[in-house]
Amino acid sequence: MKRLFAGTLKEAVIILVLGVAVGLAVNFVRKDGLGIIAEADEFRVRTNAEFVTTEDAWRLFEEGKAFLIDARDPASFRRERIEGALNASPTQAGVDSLAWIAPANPYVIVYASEASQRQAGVLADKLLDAGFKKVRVLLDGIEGWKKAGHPVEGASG
Amino acid sequence: MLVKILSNKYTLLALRLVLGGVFIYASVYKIAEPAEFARSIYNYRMMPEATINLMAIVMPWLELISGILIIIGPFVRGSALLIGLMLLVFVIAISSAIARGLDISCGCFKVGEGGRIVGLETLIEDILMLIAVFVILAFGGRSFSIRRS
Repeated sequence: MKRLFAGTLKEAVIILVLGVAVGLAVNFVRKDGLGIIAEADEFRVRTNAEFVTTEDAWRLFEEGKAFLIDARDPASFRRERIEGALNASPTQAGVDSLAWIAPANPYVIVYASEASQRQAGVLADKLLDAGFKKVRVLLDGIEGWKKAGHPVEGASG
Repeated sequence: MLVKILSNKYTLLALRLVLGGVFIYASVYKIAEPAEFARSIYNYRMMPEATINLMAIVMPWLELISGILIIIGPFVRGSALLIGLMLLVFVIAISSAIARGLDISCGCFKVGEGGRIVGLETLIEDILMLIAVFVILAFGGRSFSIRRS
C-alpha cells in the first residue's frame, strides 16, 4: 500500500516536472508568451475613459445627467443591475445599440462587476471611438454601488 | 455490488476516458489564449498577482499531459492524483467565488468573454469528477494502458 502510494506520488511529480518544463519552454518560444512574473498593474483595467467614483456617479444619475450602461453578460444583468441601467456587450453591436443616446450627450457611465471591470474598460473605449464624449467608468463597479446603498433591481432583488 | 461495478475494468476505462477527455478539451483554449486564462485566474482574487502568469503558463500543460496520460497510460495513477489535486483547487476556488458572489467566467473551458459563469453547476461537475478520480485511485488503472500503472 505504502509502495503503491509512493509510486503514485512519484508519477505525479514526474508529470508535474514535465508540465512545468513544457509550459515554460512553449511560453518562451511563442510570440504572445507571458512574463513569468506578472507585473504589478498587468491585470488592472486599461481604458482611455476617465473613472468616476460611486458618489459622483450617483449625483449625475440623480440630476438626470447620466446614462448607466452595464457591460456584463446578459445573465448577470438580468439577475441584478443598477436601477435604470441598460445592458450592452463590449462589441460593435453593443455600441451601435446605444447610438440613440449620443444626441442628448449626457454622461455615459459604464460599469461591470469588480471581477469583470475589464469589460467596462473595453466598452468605454469603444464608446469613445464611436464619438461619445463624456464616457466614464464606474470605479468600484456594481459592488461599490450596492455598498453605498444605491438602488439595484433584477431577478435576485 | 457497487464496489464490483466501480472496480470493473470497463467502468474504470470509461472514467479515464471522461476525465482525460474533459481535461484535454479544457486545456486547448487555455494554451491558445494564455493572457485570457491569466485574467480568469486573476478574477478569482485568490492568488498573489505576481504568481498568476506562472499558473496560466503551466496549468494548461499539466491538464493536457495528465489528460493524455490518464487515457493511454503510463502513469494512470499519477495523472489521476494530479487531476484530483487540480480539481480540489478548482472546487475551493469556485466555492469561494460563489460565496463572495463573484460574477466571473469560471475559466473552465472557453476562457475570456463568452466563458461559463461560475456557479453551482460548475461546482457539481468538478465534485463528480473528483469522485471519479477517487474511484480510479482506489481501484487502479491497470487495464487498457500502454504500461501497467
